[in-house]
Amino acid sequence: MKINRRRFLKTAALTGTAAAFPYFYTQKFAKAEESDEIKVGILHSLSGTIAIIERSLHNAELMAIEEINAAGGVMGGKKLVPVVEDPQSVVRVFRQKAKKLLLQDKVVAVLGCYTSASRQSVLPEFENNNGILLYPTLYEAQECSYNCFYTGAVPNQQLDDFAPWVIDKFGPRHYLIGANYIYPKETNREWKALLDNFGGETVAEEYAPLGHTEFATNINKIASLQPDVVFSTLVGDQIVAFYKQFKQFGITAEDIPICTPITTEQEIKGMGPEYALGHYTSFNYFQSVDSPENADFVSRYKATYGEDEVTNAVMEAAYFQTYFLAQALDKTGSTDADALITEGLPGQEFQAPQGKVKIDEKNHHTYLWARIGQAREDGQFDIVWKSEDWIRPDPWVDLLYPDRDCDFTDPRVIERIKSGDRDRSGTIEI
Amino acid sequence: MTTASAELGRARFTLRREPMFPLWSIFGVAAVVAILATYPLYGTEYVMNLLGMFVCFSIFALSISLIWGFAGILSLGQAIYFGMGAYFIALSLKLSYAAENPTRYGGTIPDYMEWNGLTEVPAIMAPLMHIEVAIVCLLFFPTLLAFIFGVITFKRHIYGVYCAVITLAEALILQEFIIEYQAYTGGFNGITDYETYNNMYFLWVILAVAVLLFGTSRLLTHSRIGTVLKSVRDNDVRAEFNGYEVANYRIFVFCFASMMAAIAGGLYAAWMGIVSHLDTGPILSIEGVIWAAVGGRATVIGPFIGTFLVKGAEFFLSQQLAWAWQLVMGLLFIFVVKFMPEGIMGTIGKSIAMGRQRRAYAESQDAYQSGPMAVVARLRAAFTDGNRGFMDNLLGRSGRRD
Repeated sequence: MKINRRRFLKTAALTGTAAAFPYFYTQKFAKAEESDEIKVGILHSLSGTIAIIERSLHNAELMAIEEINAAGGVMGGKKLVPVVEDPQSVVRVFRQKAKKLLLQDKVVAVLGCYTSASRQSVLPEFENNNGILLYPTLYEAQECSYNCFYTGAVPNQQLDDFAPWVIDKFGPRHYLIGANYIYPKETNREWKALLDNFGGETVAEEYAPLGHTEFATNINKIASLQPDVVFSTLVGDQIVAFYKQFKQFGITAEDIPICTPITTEQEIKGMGPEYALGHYTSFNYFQSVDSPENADFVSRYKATYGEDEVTNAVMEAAYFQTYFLAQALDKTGSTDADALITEGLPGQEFQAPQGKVKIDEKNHHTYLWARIGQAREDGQFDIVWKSEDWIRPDPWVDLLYPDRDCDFTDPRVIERIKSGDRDRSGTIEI
Repeated sequence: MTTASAELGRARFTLRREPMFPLWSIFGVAAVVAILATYPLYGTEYVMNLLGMFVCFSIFALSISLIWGFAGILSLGQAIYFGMGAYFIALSLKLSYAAENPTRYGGTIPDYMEWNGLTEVPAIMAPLMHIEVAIVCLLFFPTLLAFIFGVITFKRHIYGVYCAVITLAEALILQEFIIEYQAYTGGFNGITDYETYNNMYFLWVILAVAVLLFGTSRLLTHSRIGTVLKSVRDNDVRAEFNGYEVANYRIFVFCFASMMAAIAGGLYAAWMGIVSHLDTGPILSIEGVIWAAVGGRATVIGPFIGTFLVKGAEFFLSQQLAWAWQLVMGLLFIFVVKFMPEGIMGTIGKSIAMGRQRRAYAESQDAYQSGPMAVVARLRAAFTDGNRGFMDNLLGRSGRRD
């Protein structure tokens, strides 16, 4: 009988554990509602292939939340409480974690995502559950969702002034190289349209598979074609590999400059400043921006996360979008999503490190400044050109899509969203 | 000591075949299915979403378990078939979604096609808009691909490590293909934003399919074919000498498992609302191998246990210990591999079998030969001993089938 009892116990324990699993799982999330706290989701990968850059966004957002709480919180003394999730650089996990933040934690908004792939994966979740996503990355635009606010640059804010400046300074013959996915392709489409406009020409357009870091053939081709400019939309590790191999091949920035809307201080830190020396980047923000807000921002960031850290444009957007959210909560005085989306966030202004920024009243994108930087020996940028005013975001670039626009104040869009249509985009034909 | 009871003891001690569906397994499965199926009534949507995904993944792990644990084919590219199934369904749902919501993308074709300069859905893909066509494709093409692969590999006696390397390469190729032909596949961003079936009724569909596939697998592995497969796994040369066409058995089980993986993928796509190149590549394939290994690769229920345990722990730990969860998972795997090389269910099954042997030995030593304990022993044998009929056991008759 002894064996029998043991066997019974084993089976019972196993079945019991299996049966109890969902119960414990649910209990885990059944936390008491605390009325003096407002939960904010932070959804950036802390592991996986894009963790390095996403961790810096995560850090910037946590720092902003701390500052806001230290300054007295929002809505008359309530504290922002970050709910951190690690989506592991996998789009499927992004989607599930977004669902968890919206349904379990009932966060008021999520600050998150870096790649377009991750944003696209979570958007349906935000639209179905009427959540709010604040997205800090520059991206290819052509999108505007009722439930998303885009605080990074769209192509017209980075390219429209950059293209004529580059043609004027270096010449019209451009060699285009990019990673093979949607962002580089769309950016190059816009760049080619701009080249047409300002009398430039494309000598070649090539795409490397994502993750591909061997550019000998491309650089050989560059050497034989002798373009005036290399326009690069490579991303991630590719940037480091390309700049290095470019210099090792013996081409300097004086011969052929690499111009790009992507390379930040972060990548230059990764490759070593000697490889980026003299090349150009167009961005809204550089660590070297000369403003009291930026000096403050950089010193606080270094004090919190280490002296070796550098700041970059995407994390600057991650930082100020947290303030946008806090101000919107103050303005509406409620955590109601529709109130925040229609009244709280649109038109919100903030004195950011890059200058004064504002969320557009109509299209959920952000007014930003344009700057062109040349990489220095210390891995920072000399700002060689700066726009005179902030630049209005245009998610449907006029040059490519003259008859489309994004406008959430348009009666057709308001009607569409009120009707409960699953389509919650603000795109209209004009 | 009567002759019958002596025989009973000997028979139990020497050879024992498990019944096809032991009583405990029927109750266990019914209990688990009942818990999962009713979960949406009292649970949260988020956990329901996870549970549905785990069930889809467990079917996928089962397909790996079938070819690896039962037939000795280690495939590091089983996600190819999972991904094919997922893409067929996702494409179908996306095409119909785009056609039904023209304002969404400013046209009637999916957003990623428009970005890539297509003006209409390519003719070869247009029929996929009907979900029936997609389901037929899902059942047919992955199986066909598995068949072609099986013929050119197994017929040439390519097994073991070489097979693993080839399948790994295949998974990489498919992944690259999907990223490269982004106008048709959505490329790196994958396919998302379509009508998703994420509700209790579809959870029931997933569960029903899962029960069907797990049941079929149990039937298969405990049939004559299953016995031959195990002998092929343990010693293919000897099996061949015994007159079995080893390659044909392998091809058959590979096709069957691949179709199963494709079905899992299709359910997954409809349930999750997102499919990307990661769902076809080596990483998911290897994850599936881990789930099967942890649960017990040479058991049918093991992949289910393994998937729920590993994925559950992953989701639980990644929110409790965001900074160290990968470390804990690593230690867990080392523990399982080190102390339970057969996986959890494999180890449990083994210890049960050993317990039975010990018990049978004790019984043969006259402990339960007469008196009231003999009745108990016979009753138990009637329900658990598949070697002989119910009545044979009860009456202590020999009635051996083997």
